[in-house]
Amino acid sequence: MFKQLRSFLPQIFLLSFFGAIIALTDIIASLKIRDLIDLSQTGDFTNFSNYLWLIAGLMIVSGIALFTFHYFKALFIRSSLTKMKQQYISRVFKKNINEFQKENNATYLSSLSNDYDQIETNFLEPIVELIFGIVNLSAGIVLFVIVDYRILLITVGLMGLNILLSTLASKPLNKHNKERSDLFASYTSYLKEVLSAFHIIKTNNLEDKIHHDFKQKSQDIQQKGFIIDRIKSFFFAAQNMTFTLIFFGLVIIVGAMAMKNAITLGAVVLIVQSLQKIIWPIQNTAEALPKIFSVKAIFQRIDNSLKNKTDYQETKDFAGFQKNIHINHLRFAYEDHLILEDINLEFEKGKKYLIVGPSGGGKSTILKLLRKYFYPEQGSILIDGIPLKDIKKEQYFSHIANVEQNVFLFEDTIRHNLTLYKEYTDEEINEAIAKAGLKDFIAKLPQGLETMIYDNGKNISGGERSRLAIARGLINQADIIFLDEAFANLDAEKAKAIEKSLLDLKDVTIINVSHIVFKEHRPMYDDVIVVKNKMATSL
Amino acid sequence: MKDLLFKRKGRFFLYFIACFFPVVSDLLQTYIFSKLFDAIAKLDPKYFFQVSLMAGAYVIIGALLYITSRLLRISYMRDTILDVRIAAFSKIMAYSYQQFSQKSKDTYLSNLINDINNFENNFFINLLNFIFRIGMYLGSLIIMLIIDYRLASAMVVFSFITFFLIRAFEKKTVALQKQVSKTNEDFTLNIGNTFNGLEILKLNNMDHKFLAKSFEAINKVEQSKYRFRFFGDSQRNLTQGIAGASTVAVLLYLIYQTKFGLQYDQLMMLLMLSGNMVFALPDIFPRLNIIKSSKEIYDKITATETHTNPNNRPHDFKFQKELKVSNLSFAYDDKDLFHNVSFTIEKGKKYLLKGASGVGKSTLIKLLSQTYPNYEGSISLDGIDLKTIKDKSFASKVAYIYQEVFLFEDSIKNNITLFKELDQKTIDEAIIKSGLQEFIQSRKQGLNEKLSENGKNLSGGERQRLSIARAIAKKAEILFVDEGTSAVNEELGKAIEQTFLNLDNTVIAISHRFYPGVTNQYDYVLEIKEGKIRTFTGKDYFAEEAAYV
Repeated sequence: MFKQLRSFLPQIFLLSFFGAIIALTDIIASLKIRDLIDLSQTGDFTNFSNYLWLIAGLMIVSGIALFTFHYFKALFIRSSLTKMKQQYISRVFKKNINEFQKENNATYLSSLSNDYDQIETNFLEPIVELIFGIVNLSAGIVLFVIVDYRILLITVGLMGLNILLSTLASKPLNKHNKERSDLFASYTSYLKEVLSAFHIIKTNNLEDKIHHDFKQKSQDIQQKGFIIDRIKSFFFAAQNMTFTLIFFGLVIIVGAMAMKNAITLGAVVLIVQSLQKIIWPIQNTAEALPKIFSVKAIFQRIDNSLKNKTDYQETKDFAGFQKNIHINHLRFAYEDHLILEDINLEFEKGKKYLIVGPSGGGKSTILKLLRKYFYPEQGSILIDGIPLKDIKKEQYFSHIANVEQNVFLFEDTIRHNLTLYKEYTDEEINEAIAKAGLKDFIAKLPQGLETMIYDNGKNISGGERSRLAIARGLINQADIIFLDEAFANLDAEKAKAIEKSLLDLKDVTIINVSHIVFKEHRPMYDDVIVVKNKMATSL
Repeated sequence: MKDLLFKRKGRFFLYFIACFFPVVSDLLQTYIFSKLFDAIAKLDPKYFFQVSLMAGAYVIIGALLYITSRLLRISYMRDTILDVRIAAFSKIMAYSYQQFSQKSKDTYLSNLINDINNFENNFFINLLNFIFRIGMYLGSLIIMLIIDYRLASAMVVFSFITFFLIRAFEKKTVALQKQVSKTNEDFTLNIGNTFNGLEILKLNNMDHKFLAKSFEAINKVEQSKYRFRFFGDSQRNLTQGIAGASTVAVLLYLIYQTKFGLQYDQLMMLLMLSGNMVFALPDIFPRLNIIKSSKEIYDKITATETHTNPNNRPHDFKFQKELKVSNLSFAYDDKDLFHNVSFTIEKGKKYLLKGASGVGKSTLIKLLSQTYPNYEGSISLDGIDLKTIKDKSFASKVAYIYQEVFLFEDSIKNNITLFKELDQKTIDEAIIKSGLQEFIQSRKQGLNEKLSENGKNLSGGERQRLSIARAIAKKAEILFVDEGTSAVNEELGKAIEQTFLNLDNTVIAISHRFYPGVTNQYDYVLEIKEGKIRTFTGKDYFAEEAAYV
């Protein structure tokens, strides 16, 4: 996971550089203050103003360096997050359609927001804090050693003791924290259920009973939480006491050394002042390291979710559908469910096919196989004799058209939603609109084709969306049009009219998967295929 | 809010005092430390030893102060938060079902859990800090005034300068944060839409274009976060820089004062106290703001709303012949769902509602069951408008079966009777008609067996049958079913649907499943398409489908 940061080494270097400047100015200023205090004991104030100006100058330099440091910090976090998120989305787009659909979209969205928020808070920010901490720690160590290296050893020893005690206390504390969060988890599920039952409660006058139950549960949780908090209080008090003991212990030891004239008064001030520089970075690192390493799991999870499990090399070009599609002895299972067993079908160019069958029976699966979402387990699909598996996806897709039940509309004009950013003449567009039964709808709009669609077409009815999808499918004059329950949202007359114009198209192969059948049009289909019980029968 | 806090006057007073303990502790520590420093400066071993003993005593006193303060505080918090939970819950329970449906369940859950947690954390911790810092500021100021009033006044000035600096930055900080929030929302919407359409984009070789759009969106979000972060950090640096610089200035001033006889313990005390003042004041008002916003959250989740009184409802529920819908029009969220729709429901018959998802099937049930009363047109039972029928009378004759069944942590019997007194004959009839006999016989204590954990270990089929038993035991005349068989497998769903169709009650159901041989038994199918409803007989509607299966 640290590999991710490789491209940001220059920025990390800059951060370290300015951090070093801050540390350096700090060291010099602290030493001058020490000298000044020692000087004050002698009563000689002649050079006082020199010291004053020097220290003032150092503080200004330090301030500028601090600002620059934070500027580069903000820059670092921004550029690394942007790059990571962009890479994430690129990889999601690269996923095969069926693998992408295995997860709910909410999973990807949650990853993009929650996971990367965690990476920001628990990885990127702590890294910068670590750099700042190292810088401070070095300054502190230098100052301690200048005074007396033994004090450094004593301080580190006492700090170590404190960390040891904290670690000992952390196990029971974590246990109690977990208990508390488990308590709340079950309280939350109880509340979820009550909210789900709101209607039952209201229509059966059960409010009083529910109020009573709720009060019981809430009292329970408050009391249990209180007991846990009480135990935690004792732990915290012990921690607090240890810390005070260590602090005063150190001051007394240093004081004793000063009493023996081993160090000066100014040095005592220096030590106390510099204590924070040693303590804070160590504490911060102790907190930051677990955070940083916890992020490793997130990186791994993200990486796994983005991999394509099947990576088949497609080698064949495709210039268009000329003759026929053969499905031979096709067998397909999805996650241990056998959906299709020994399917044999033939589709000829220019002919019209209707595929029917019970829901869940496999008709949509055949369509997905024909659209290269999946590969057959056994058997093959051949287009003009070439295995569909080997044909390059992009080329294949540019020769087929799809009309689906859930229409995707994006924030752009109706024109662009129809043409999908490809170039078409106005006649081509109008012809598609007419055939799809959209002429009246567009004529009524004041801005016609240039009307903007917002919010995934919230203000467009289900029927109109379906017709837009059909127009899309017609406009690119593909060799073959796949329809997947395209008429589900249309009322009977409109659906019939559109079906007729589809069936009238010459030289276009139509494969219509639908549970809505119009008796009058049945003869116009070259074949009706029933897919059920894992088999397909032609009629 | 004041009522909440002062409900336990005595305990609140103790809480308030407990918040001052840390102030006392801190000032004591400062005093002892200054004395130690003085002893070192004077190189007096006896003095040094005495102060060291004081330090040792302080370690223990400090710990005692700490723990007493905490124990006093957490018991007050426990009881106050209980009151908040009950108030928030009562508010939600007081809603009518229509008001309740206006927000998602997750919103209410957030109110009851997250908002209260935030309140517990933000309010009390910040109240503590607020009182603590005011105490530190005033305590330090008073002691400083006694020792060196000129320095004390200078510190007051300094502290207010840093305070005003922070205030000056506040507005922009809030604006930048709102911007981050908004760009995040826009981003989520944008990317969510793109993911929804990714399948289509790939099928049309359009994904690259949208990838570029997504990259842009990411840039925008990180840019606004960057601005917020840098501005916030700069503000913090500036204020801390000024506070730090003033501390150094004070130190230099005090060192110079030793020329005029200032003692080293005074020097150390003044230095630490002035640090307290400069660092404490700027922190006070942000805390106050957080306390204020916590108060707003408290008000939001507990304020009781006035409910409109139910209008004149003189009639009892009567259903002998038909439920008639005339010229019904209803729009929801700017979407026209029904447009001048008319149809009739005959008593005792079974109706299936069909239509694409989102077309309004569940809404139609809500309209027929008076859950949404704001519609145009009329719905009447045997000629009496639904709006004039007594709420309780209506509720007692109508039952609902949903996909999810809520079970109480109580006996099976009470889960069927819903805590009402019903005679054994009624209960037995309900059990038989809903097909629950086997289930009850398999339980050791039969009807009296307690369902633990809201019946989690019951299968989907058993839950649905319990749901049906409830409806029968209630002697409901109309049964509304919304995807009652969707949560179970094909075989079980078939059996349960058959159970519905065998009942005497009038059934109005939504189901997207088709069970050959069973679903065709519905008397009528109401098909909803583009705002209109067409009535078909079950036979006609399923003819085509039956032909292929």
